[in-house]
Amino acid sequence: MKTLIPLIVMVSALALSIPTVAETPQEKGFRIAAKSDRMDRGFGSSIAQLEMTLKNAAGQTTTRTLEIKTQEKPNEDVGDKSVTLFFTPPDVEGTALLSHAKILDSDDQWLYLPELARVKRISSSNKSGPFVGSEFAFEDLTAAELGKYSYEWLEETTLDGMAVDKIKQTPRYKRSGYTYLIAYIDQDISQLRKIEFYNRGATHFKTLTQSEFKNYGGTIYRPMMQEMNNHLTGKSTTLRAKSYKFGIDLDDNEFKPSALSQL
Amino acid sequence: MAQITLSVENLGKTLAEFSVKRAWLTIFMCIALVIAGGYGGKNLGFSGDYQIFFGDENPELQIFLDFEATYGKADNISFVVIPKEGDIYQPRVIEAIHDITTKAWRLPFVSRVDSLTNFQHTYAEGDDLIVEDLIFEKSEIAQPGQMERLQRIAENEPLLHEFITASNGTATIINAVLQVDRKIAEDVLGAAQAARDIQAEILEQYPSIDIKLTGASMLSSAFSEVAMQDSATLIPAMYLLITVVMLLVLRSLWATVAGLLIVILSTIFGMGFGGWLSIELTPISVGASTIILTIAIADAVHIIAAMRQKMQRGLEKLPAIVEATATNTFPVTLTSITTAIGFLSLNFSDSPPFHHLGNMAAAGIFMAWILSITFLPAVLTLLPVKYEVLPKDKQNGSVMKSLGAAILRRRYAAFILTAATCAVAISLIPRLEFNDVWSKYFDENIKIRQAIDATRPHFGTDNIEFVIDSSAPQNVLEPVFLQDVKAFSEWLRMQPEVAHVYSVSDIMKRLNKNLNEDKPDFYDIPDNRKLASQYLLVYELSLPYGLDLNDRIDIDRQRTRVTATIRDTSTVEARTLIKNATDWMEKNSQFGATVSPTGNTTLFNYIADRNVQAMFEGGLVLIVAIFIIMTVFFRSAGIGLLSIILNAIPVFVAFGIWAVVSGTVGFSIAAVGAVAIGLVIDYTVHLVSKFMSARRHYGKNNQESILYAFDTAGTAIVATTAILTAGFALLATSAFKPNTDMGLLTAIAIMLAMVINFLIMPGLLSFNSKEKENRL
Repeated sequence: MKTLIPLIVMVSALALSIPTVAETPQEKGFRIAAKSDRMDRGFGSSIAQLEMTLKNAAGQTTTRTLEIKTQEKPNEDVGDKSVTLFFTPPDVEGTALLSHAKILDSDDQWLYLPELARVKRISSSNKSGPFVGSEFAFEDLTAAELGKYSYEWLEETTLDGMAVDKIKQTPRYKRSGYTYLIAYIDQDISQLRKIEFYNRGATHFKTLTQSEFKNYGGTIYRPMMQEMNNHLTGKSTTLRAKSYKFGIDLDDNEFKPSALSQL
Repeated sequence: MAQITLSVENLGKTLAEFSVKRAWLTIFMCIALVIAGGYGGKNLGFSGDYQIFFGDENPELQIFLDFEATYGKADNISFVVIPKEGDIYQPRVIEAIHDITTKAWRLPFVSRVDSLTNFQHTYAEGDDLIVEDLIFEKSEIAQPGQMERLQRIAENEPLLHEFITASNGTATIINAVLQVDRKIAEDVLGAAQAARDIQAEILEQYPSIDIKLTGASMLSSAFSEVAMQDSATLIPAMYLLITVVMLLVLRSLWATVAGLLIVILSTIFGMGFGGWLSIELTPISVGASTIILTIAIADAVHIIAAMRQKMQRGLEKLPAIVEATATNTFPVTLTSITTAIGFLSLNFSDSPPFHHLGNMAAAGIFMAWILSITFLPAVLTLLPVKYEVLPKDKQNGSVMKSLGAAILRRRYAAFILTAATCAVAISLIPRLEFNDVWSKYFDENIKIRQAIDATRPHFGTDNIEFVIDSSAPQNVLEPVFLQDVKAFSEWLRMQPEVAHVYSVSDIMKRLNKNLNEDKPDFYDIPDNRKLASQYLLVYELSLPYGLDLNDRIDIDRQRTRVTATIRDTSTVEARTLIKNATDWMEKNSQFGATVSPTGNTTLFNYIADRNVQAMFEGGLVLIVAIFIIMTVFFRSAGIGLLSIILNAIPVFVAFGIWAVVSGTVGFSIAAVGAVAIGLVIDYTVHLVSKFMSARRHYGKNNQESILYAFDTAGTAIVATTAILTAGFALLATSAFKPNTDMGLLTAIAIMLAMVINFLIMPGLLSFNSKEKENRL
């Protein structure tokens, strides 16, 4: 049986490589990205508890804890809905951000401020802006939406000993702060291992590294550790997942502005 | 004294005889040595970092680097747009601003671009908070009422008015923040060049506007620009000058060629040595080439002038070369040591470019010394240098000898008068004031100076950063603290030299208003800390790409930064403002907040003090060193003391004169003392050594010995003074003001030193030798 494994691998590799013959780099890039994106299709909804540590160039750090609830939209042309709830620092406890992601347009966002006891809609086109002072943009944090980019497969390479596909992703959203991203998707479980971000001057200015992937049943994986390093400013942000929950039945009503104050 | 002089003279004679006999071998060895040193020149490049002026230990620099690590780098390039006619609120100008903004985003290392068009305008619509670029699409510019809208918003927004847009719309700024490694010159220069390319493109497209480039990165690039300009203009001028002077003094084309060779080879070695030390050239250190040249020529002139005198008095060429070299080996060696020590003492300076200047100059001086006593006799042997023998009656009684005799006759009067004059001049020194206007470091033909001059009528041109500390994490959001920040910002705005204040208190006030349906009553600091924190969260979520709150508040929310843009001020005015500001906070803070100032141009406010302090120590060490050297070489503590007095006095007198002429000194002046003392000690060395050798060797009495010293060293002293003064005066034509001051003041000191040495020496030497005669 053991001797058969290499054979199976070879055959399947051969089988997988057949379509590439006729494929353009764009199609191949899209196919690999789509596979990665669709791996966790059907999770329905998820709750992630995260600890975000910000570090500046002087080495000072600060930590924030938050929870992100995401309701997956089956339609790939419609963005997911999410609620971000802040726990610490204590001054912002109970503050909640509701976002209806749009693929090619500004997201709809509402923020509940407990001290003001009001829900405020924030109309902003700054999707690429830093998320609460971190090196992550809000668009980096939320689940990758296939339609946000156009794709081009560049090459097959290795990353930390893994075979990965290197794909160039160009944002289709006009106001994006990025000219393109270089994504590294492993060939084993099709997860995003690393993304290099290129700014408007086409300079590689930050890098996201995702590690400690954990399986949540089926083909659903999540990184326990995400680290964003800004090479220009010397600042970095780590995002450590404390827990992920999947398949919880989240009511549509929880993703309405009026629900924010009840959280 | 006699032994040392004799042994050095014997060594000189041996060397000279060898050099004359084996001329080609000597030349070959010297050139090999020069090539070995000069090859280091391949490592030389111009620095692209204005911070090179600050030593690693400089406390202000440390504070500033920490500030940058906390709030982000302060390097920037500002495009100042000035419409040729009318104000900026015309569609064509706004289009240009929009284009520059877009293009500036593509500058290398850019992390943020701020302009009128991409300003994040926030306002409320009921419970909606709208955050948008003032102009996003270019097509919005043509909308009816758009110009009026822009003007209204700009004039009422504290973060725009007089910061991005000048009052009355006379000009506007597009500011690009760069995260560039200042240590990599080509990156800084590349960014500056990219900005110039954008400037050229836009000017071509929009002839109705003018664009000037300022900012820290342009300043950095200006330093290398001015260094390059200096080396392109000063050095050729210098060569022309010394050629003329040598022709006049030496009266021989071939002797001049020999002198020029010494100069060129010494310069190559000195600069190449800098290359081996991985020195980055600055407008200051580029001056080393001028200085080496000046000193090398002085060495050569002493020897060639002596040879000429001997040939004119009937000696054959080769013996004349050997004897001229031998008798000058001692003074040339000693003056090389003292001058080199003077330059090496620049290592005490707080500003590394002065270390570079000192070390390269010292290396060049060392090489000039070696070459003068080996290469020069060899080359003179090979070159067809000719001097006619003068008739007997013209051989004695040089002009210098007559001068010496005249002074000797009235030596006491000369001594007292000179001493009195010096005392008066020195008493004026306290009138000197340390003051620099750093933007005026640059000559008017340098672009950064033109840009600052053009910006000045519209905007402040300097930043002072005030870091306000709330003493514990999270405290920044305490309402009482925020009230302090607000009051402090308002106080700053009332100061006449302050053009703009960028403060988190304005952001807070606006947020409070925006989140309360834009009700004007809420345009104030929120009265509750949690609310303030939550507002900041809103602010953070609304920020565009490239901006974050840490630009204003540090990461653990203990400190916040208030930026005051001030109109072009002198360092004295700036320091007064800083002091008043910190005092104000101490007196008025309700929270107990403290203020510490920093900022890139603020660094320059303290550089003169630092350098003067450091060079004061350096000067003391130098004086002690010179005292020891002179005492040892001349075997007389009296001579050591005499040297110090004779040479410190002219430098002090020069400062006294400067106090009347200019009244202010900048940071480069600190270097003058050490350099000048190291240089002018040469006069004393030459006069005293000739005086001593007349007494010891030829058994002459005091008066005869003084006359002998004037006769043999006088002409060379006048010639070297002419060369040194001219050299430093030429440095004064530098496009870099600190060089101008340093050059001018050193030139004054050198001239004074010659005059004072001539006037006082006969009197002093009479005292000195009288004592000795009594003892003997």
